[in-house]
Amino acid sequence: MFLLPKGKPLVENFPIAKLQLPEALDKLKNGKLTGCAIFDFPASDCALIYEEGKLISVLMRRNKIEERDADALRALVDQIILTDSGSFNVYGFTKEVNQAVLALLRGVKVLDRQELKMIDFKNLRERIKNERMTATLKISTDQSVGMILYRDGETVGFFDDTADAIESSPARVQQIATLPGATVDLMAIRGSDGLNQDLSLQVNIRSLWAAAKGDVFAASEPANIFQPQAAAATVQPPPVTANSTEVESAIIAIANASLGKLGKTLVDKELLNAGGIKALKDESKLRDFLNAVEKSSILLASANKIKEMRNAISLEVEKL
Amino acid sequence: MDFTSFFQYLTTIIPFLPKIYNPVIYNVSDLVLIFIWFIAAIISFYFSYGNARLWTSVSIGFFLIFWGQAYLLNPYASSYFRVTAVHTIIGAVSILLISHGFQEYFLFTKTLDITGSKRTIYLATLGAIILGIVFVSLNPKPSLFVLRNYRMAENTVWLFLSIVNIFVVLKIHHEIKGSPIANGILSFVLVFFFIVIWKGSELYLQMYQWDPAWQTLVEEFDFSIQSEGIDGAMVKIATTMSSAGAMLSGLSVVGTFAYLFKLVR
Repeated sequence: MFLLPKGKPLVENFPIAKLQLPEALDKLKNGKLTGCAIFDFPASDCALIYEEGKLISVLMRRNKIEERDADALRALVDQIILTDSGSFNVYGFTKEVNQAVLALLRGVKVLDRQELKMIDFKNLRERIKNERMTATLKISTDQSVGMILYRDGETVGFFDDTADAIESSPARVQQIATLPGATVDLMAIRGSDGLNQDLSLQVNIRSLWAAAKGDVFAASEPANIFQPQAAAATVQPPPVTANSTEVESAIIAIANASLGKLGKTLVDKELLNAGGIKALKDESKLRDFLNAVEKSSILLASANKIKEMRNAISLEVEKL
Repeated sequence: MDFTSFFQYLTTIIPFLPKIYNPVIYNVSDLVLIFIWFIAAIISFYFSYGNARLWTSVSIGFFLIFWGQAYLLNPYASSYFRVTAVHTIIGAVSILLISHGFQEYFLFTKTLDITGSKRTIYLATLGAIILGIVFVSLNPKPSLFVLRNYRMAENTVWLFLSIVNIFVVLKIHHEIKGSPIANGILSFVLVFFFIVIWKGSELYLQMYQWDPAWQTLVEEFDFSIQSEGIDGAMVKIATTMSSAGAMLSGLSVVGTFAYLFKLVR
């Protein structure tokens, strides 16, 4: 499993079995996500890095084999179709941290499992600073992993395998560095390495998904790599009427993003009371559902946030 | 600060007030403390306005703390023993209300149901205070010894419920993690921690008869009882902790509600 820094949790532990990949990725794109989406399967993992809604990097790791970008996206579609279990998580980062995470996933290995005691750590830090590296310094032992995230040579955060979020204090990482057998990896990217590409324009996920699902008409569409220039004109997903599962997943994702992990429980409960997702086609049932969700949300979020959530849910329900 | 002339003037314009014979002198720190609790009471009440009823419980609880603290400044407080006993009961009711609010919050995180009306809370509070008044009225007039016992019982209730509340708040935070309000709720851990310090050290002083109330009794009744260790460092530390805890708990309540305001805006 990838150990990536955890930013602001936007979606946590969403069951992959319920996920409609094209819609989910559209939401991350339209929501202008800066952060990462992680697919955690039983025997593999996939991480997607977004910068303001642009899919800038994909890394799939299975059986110690890594696939990147377009290949990784294709592998991801196959994996979702083949596997029923697994979870989907999305974390938002600041731009600075996001680039350090990008370095962790696709950066050049400046140091590769170097023993920490063999390194002049002070010199290394000066080098990172002087060369204005955007990088992640990973300190590992058999038991623990700590990370220091850099943007243009400046420290932008710390993370370790026990943390729930990116921290501003180096205490825990320093502690890991003192453990016997600690090794250091340094992954760095230069300038705007990879930041200009948008993989979602290069790979037609919707076609790949439909083909993998067995839609013979969609499968006959080219499920290949588009040239970025052509893609903008050609990759326009056809207007589709979302099915009820997709709408339900979307509503849960909205509630999760607005209210935290209780959002899903709240939506599940109120959908049960309303008589299921399809019952929301009835205007009065939808109003009752929204009122019930709003009533409980008052103890979890601000009035503005609740209003935004209410509007977003209403828009999703319109797709039914 | 000397308030004697102020209260003497008050007795001239409000004729039914008993005359003031003893000097009325307050520490500035006591006045600051009451002011902080006053702000805490107002801000928590304002926060509860239009919000779920569990915040009504919490805000009435914090308002009653202010009430109890302000009553002690009243120069007649030591003259009316029954009223003082009732105020000690009100002090215990206040932490019961706050705890009720947080337990309702925890229940909410499990059931996601908000039930009950605010009116029930107001009526239950009134009922509890009336019950306290009836209890005090039916019993003999409390002596200074009895009042001290009341105070000890109140501190015990505060100490244990505050410890319980720390765990309840941590549980709530665990359940609502990721929601915008989660860190605001977590701030109440700090509030209850300071209350534990405040009430715990006061109870400790009372248990070993190092508290000022006991020393007054010893002087008043000319006891030849020596509270062993009264000059020790522990007494000084506990006294300082009690005063600092009271001040910090008031400040943390103000800060926590201000933070909650920011989060829910």
